[in-house]
Amino acid sequence: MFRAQAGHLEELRRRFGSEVEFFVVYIREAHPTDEWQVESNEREGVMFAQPKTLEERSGIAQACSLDLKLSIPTLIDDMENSTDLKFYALPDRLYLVGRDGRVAYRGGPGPFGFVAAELERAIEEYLDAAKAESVAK
Amino acid sequence: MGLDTFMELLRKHLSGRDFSRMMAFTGAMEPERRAAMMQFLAERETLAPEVGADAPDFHLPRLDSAERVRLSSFRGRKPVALIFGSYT
Repeated sequence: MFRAQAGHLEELRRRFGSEVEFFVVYIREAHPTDEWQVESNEREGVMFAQPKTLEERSGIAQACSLDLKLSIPTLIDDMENSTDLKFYALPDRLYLVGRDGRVAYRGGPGPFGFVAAELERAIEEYLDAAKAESVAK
Repeated sequence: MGLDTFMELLRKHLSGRDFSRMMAFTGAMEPERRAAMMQFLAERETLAPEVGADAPDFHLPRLDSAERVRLSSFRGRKPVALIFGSYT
């Protein structure tokens, strides 16, 4: 779902980038050739084995970023998948973390819960509430 | 979403070939690894950090840069949208 919605996520960064920091957190491959391959990857020629080193993971992340024309900066999770496991992110997931460091929006588990339009609404609501609070002060 | 519901959604939305491949992949896994994966899938709704909870911190390298990014460095400054995913 990440690949299919990358364009929408880029739009969100163009729209909200001055007020919200955006990062792609690149985690373990969801459908590598040596695990559970899927037809859409074969059709689109996205064929990679599960990386065994951080360099290999970074290489695939680089190809991903170029192919999807991402301007959103990419961070690479470690090979222990620490960040993925802390956020229960595999295969893909969206979050918004508030200025206070707390989770403001938690998307559903991917692939079905990965919905860029939901993140968009969450950002709108968060920024509206922050503005209202600022006016009230 | 429980694991059973998730499996039902997979069956409904995946092509027959993709679903068969998933079953073959999980069926061929070492029992310990399969158990860990199924536990992760079952827990990801209940144990993922909830709205209002402190977001777990991370300190990760940035692609194409020597810079590392710490999530907590944005606290008090800016909200952060996190997009977890992979190419495949």
